Amino acid sequence: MSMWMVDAFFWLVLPIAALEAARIIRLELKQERRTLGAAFAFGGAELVALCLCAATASPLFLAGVTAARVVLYYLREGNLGGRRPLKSALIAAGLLLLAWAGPIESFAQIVHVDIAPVWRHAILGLIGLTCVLTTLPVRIADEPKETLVAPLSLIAFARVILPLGSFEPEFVIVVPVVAAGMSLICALWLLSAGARANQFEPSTLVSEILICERGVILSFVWMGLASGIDLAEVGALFQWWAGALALLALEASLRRRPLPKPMAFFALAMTVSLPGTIGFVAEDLLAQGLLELRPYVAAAFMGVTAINAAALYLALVNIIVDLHAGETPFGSAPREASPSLMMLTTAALALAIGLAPSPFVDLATRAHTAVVHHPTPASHAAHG
Amino acid sequence: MIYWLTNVLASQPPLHVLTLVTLLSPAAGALVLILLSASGVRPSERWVAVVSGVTVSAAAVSSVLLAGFTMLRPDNQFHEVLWTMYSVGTYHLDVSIYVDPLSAMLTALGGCTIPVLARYSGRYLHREPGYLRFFALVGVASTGFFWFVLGGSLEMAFFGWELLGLSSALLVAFFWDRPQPVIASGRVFATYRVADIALLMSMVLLHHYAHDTSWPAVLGIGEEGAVVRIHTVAATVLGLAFLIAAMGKSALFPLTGYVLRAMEGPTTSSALFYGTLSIHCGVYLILRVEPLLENVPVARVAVVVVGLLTAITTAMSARVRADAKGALALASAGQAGLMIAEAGMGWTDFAMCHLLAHGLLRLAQFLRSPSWLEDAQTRRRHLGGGSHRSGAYLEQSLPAPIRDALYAAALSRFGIDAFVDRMFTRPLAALAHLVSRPRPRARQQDGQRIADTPVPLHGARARGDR
Repeated sequence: MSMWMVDAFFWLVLPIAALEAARIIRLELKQERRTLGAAFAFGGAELVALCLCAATASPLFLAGVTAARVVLYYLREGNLGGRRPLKSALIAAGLLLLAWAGPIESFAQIVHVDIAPVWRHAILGLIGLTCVLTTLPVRIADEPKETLVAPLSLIAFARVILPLGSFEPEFVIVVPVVAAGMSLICALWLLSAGARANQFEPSTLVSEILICERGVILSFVWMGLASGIDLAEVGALFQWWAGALALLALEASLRRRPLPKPMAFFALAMTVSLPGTIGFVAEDLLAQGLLELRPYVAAAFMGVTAINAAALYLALVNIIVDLHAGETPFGSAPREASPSLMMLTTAALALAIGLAPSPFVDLATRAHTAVVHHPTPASHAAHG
Repeated sequence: MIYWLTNVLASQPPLHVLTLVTLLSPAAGALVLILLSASGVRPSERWVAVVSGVTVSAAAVSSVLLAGFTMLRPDNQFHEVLWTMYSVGTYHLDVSIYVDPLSAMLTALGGCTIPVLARYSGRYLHREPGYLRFFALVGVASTGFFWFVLGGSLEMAFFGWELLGLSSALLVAFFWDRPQPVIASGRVFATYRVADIALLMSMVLLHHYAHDTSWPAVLGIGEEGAVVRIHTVAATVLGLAFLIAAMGKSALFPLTGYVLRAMEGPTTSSALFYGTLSIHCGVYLILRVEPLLENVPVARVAVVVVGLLTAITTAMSARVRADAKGALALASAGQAGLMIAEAGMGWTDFAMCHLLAHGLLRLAQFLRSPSWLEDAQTRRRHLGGGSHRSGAYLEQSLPAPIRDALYAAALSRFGIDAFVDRMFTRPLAALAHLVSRPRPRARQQDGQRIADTPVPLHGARARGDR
């Protein structure tokens, strides 16, 4: 049994891993905590760790790399506070249980091995809880230490939860409904934060925006991936890409002072899936797919999309008003920063993929085939 | 010779070229200006006006030619799939265009008015700090408008619809050194978002029910022996979704209130969006899907009722407005309501003519609104003095107490905005507040934490409030 699965899913994760690495390097340099070499070393280590996570077929190896990422996190942050160690522990526990209960040596074996329902539910619970923890907008202070779109949780979801979930008939109903509920909570949370923007420091509000938006995006990803509908599943994987780019653009523009308003509005446009950006393709595929078999989930998706966009705009508007009131004398010309390389890169990528999405949709389709189209237990039985 | 020339001009290759120029030229202009802005280069006003003027005018000329040449074709229609954007399984998104008399008419309206506005704005916004931003956004809005009108499917129309909405909201926030325009743009964006989601929903529903969203297929839905047919309930749901989308875009009852806030933008952008183009997009949408409503009495009645309610309430409110732009915006919404009612009653040709005439008249009125008083005095002088009344007021025939009560109610816009806030905005805000508590790390002010009370989502927060 091969230890590696360098399939289309790996190639789907790779760009996001690179973005995460770039983000770590940028944060380290911005905060002036490290030298250039050390910042690149931490970024490179994150890239390698995520690539190994995406490429490995072994649950034990994945658990090991997950533990190694926690060590890297400790070396970088100097403490083990926050959500990441807890999430890593839950994923590692789920993977160890999978390796022991199966016994499973490769993720490709999951659909072929009859794991006892108790263990199956325990593994689904542990990794599912990680996904919930990743999604809900709790512990706003963690925001700079969190990843953009939780690549490890997605890998665990795709490699473990999806094949294990194919044994549970309720999976395709329960998970999308729970994800829809979580997305609504995140969007409402963002709406509340945006409406009460004048009660928070702008930097806290930006953290709120990013954490809530991350929650909305990840909820959509879980919703689509678990729906059991090919179109929605491809849309969910595309949404993951779109979300990463949008969050990176939001973070890069909203944290900059003076605020580069045009770029902040473009980041907003990316997040609300303006046609011509990558988000539109993802939203279109997800909505089309969900409506085929899950109209109620599709309706929730639409509603959350509307609330999320309005909330995000409201928050952005309040940041602009707030900053202006605090910094610039009334009536004077507003100050603006020029956009950074990170903003321009994400904007260019979002536009390029949004206007010519075909090769990227093909990659997402192949990645979807790699993680979802395992032979199901039912088809196994039929073949004898 | 003329017959041969007509055939050549109305053939596929020239129309293909004209389509590409119409759709891509303003986008190219906007892109150049955005790239200049992003790179930190500050070109002179003259260069900005030239880039914008050339690209927008090229689109305008080609759009008028496209409309004219299409009318020379035997079937007065031109439909072409330009390319397939992506496909997954059996689902695919095609980039296509569709020109028929309806879209040709609105394309010609846009083609005639956008260059005028660009030219006027070049002088009107002289030395404004956001000069380049304005023209970049006009380019985006023009792109959005032409994609919306010429798009061959609902997806392509949605593409333009969203671009138009975002550029409109950003232009409302053009003077973003002041809080009020920025907050007003938030309200505009939120209303547009409701319309966007309704249109997205109708797009998905159309895929679900009809397995196709291209206009030629949709237009055949209501007809006997058409390509695609859907049952009455589905058509009713679709019709209502289209109506909600139109309500948001054309400021129909009860979503009219945002147009008054949208007047915070520069006069030229108000003319572009709320006098000429954007306000008519909802009407165009209803006219476009009118064949779908043919056998759907519930949706048709809803369209007529919404249209008439809009016309009545906005006409009364416009009478009592003290500002010229506000009165014009309400009057535009009222006329859009009448057009919608006409479309609902099946008078599509009449509604088309109404739309065209109204767009041109309102453009002139909006652009003259900064010198409204001067114009009124000039007019009065030429008429030999005295007061001048422009038309009959039906409410004058009512008894004085009723008339006064009506005017008083019109001042508060019949409580429609307050009702919408009470029914939708406040419950949503309360729910959001409930979900997100408790909130640590609140801002400290004078050593005291600010009370954890929600700020109304709709409320304009003055600078002194904080």
